[in-house]
Amino acid sequence: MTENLRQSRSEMVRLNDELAGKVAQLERAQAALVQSEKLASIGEMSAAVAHGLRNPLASLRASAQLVLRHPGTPGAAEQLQAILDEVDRLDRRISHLLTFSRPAPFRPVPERVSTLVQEVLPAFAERLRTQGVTLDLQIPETLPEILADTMKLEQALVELVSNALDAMPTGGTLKLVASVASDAGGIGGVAIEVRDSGRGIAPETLQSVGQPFFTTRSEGTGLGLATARRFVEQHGGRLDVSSTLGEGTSVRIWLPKA
Amino acid sequence: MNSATILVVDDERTLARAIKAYLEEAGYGVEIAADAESALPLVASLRPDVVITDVRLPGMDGIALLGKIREFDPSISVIVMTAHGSIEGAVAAVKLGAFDYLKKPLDLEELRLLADRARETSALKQELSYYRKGLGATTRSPR
Repeated sequence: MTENLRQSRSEMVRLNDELAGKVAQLERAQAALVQSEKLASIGEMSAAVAHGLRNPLASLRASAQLVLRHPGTPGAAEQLQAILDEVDRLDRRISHLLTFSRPAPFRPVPERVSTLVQEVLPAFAERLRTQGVTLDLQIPETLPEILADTMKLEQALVELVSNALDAMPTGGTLKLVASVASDAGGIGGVAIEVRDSGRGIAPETLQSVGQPFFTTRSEGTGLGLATARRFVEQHGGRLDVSSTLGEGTSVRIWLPKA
Repeated sequence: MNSATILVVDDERTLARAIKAYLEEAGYGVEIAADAESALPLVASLRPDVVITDVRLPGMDGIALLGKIREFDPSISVIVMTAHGSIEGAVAAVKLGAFDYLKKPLDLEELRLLADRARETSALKQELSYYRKGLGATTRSPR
């Protein structure tokens, strides 16, 4: 009996050691995975930053090369002006990147979606008029309140509306629709959709949309949608982009109710 | 001087204009398109010898444009430019039939030399196509 107990105890000790070894192995594997994910994400970010900076650099280099070839001509003055403009563009991109990456406090309060939208839209009245864009607003007052850091969510909406208007330089329809919606896990919330009737985004380009510095416009910084996504996710929400070439693009944000 | 035509497709206006000015000095006729959608009608109407396109464009991208140009006229040489952190997209473009690729920021003289070679290749392909058609017509003609 005592011998049996001793054997059982010794077996338990062995199994315990084996388990401890496996746990340590799993922890090492998890740490390696986290590290490799971090490196992959740094790699993606670096590639995006490189792209965002190399385009203005390409213009700078080409303009400088032309000035060197024909200094003192009227064309050279034009190229020098282009160089100044490109330097300013680079500076704007760097400023936006710093804003994007700077940590900021999160102060959520219960808020109505209609109030957020009403705060944002007046800033676009002039652009809507000059671009000939019709506004189709469908924001019911009966929607539940959401927990919102108003400054951040308004900024996110500004970025989405601004992108939508950029996609319709010669007119179209800007649709803002809000509705009650649950997320995949059944948590109640509100969905806000910002839809343009622009030319849309090609499927192969769509997967890169929202990555920092990714832009399809030469004047864009490629940080608008990335900033919006970051702010929405800070609220426990999510942002999805869908698009059809020739029909337009839709950005849907979902936010949990207060 | 040469009478060849080059179409530059890039929404980076400053760069596109600088490329145009440089290549025009080298004797090329150069047109600019800011995106693939407006480039396609120009490809059909101008029948350029060479197209120089960025990989990333608003709407349809440079790789899809390359495919459309290859379908329309495989003798047109397409040079691809990329500002991306990696050159995978550009290498993929070469595998799909692009003449060559250049990384941004690029050297205008290097681009000009590449355009010269691309134009020569394009001319040779056109010549070959012409003789093949002629040969086909001869063999099909009744005796």
